[in-house]
Amino acid sequence: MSELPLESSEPDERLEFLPVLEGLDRIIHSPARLMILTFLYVVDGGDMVYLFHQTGLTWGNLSVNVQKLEEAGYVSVDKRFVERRPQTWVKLTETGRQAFRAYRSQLKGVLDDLPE
Amino acid sequence: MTNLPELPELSDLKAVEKKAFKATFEDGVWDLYLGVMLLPLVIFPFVHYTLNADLMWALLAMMLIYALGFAGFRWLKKHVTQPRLGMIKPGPTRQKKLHTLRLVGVVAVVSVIALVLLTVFSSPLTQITVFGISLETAILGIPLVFWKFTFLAVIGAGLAAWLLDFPRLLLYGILLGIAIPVDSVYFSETGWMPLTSFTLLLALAIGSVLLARFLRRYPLPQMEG
Repeated sequence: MSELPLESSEPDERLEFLPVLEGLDRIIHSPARLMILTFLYVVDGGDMVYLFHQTGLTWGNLSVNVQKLEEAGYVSVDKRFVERRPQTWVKLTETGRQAFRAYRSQLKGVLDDLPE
Repeated sequence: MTNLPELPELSDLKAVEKKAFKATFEDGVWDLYLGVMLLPLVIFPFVHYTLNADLMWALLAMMLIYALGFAGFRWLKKHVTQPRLGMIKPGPTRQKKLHTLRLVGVVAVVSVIALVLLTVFSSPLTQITVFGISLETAILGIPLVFWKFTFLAVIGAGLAAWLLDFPRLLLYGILLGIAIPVDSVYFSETGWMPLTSFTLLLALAIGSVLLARFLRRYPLPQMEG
């Protein structure tokens, strides 16, 4: 298979989107956390079992990532008992909601600007 | 390489929300509940008219089935579905839809009660006309008044199916909509209600299959957060 030489273009033009990529929120820019935030964004709150099934993550992975999101102030976690059963309720905070919206539009902008 | 599940489609959050909400109907409990709710419709006329049982006992049996059906529904949702599927508080758009659904439900119930009262206390039916058409006017050999139940069942179920993202509800609405007028005539000739019985059995069968599949697909989580 012959290799085609890379088209020479202005370096500034090619790397134009890099600063935008660098500016992406690193907390959200992880597949697991992105999934958690997406499934929390569409509801007004849900328990860990909901997130476990919707995201398909393992319990350990889910817990670690929810904790990271909580530390960033993107979600609030409320451990409580509902009819003598433990329930961990997770809710997107307003900061988290805004950060998710910003990340989404930022990423969309970068992807839309990529050539076909 | 990480073994992560597929990322949800970020550009289509409506689809993500729908997926999350639709999971509620994967357990088949609503289908089972609907089947049980149809049971008295089949049993009551059979017990009262065919077996000539006392009206009070037939009504009591009907109420008992409704009460048991509701209790069973609540039990299954609380002890089978919720521990496996988790709980959510719907977002504002979904809450609006659910609120509209409640309104549709109230309008449907009031309409059915009005239609039943109109049918029971109007004798003869020819005295009543709607848009100039007598309620006794027959279409396919069935009085128009019964087709009005069909209209209500299909429109009500269609709206509910759309608001809940639960398309099977429209199927049940159509089946029941056809069953009510056809069985009302069929019952007076044969003493049983084949189409309602079919809808009931279909709902119970679909519900049982879905529940079995749900239990396999969603085992009880070993630990919670």
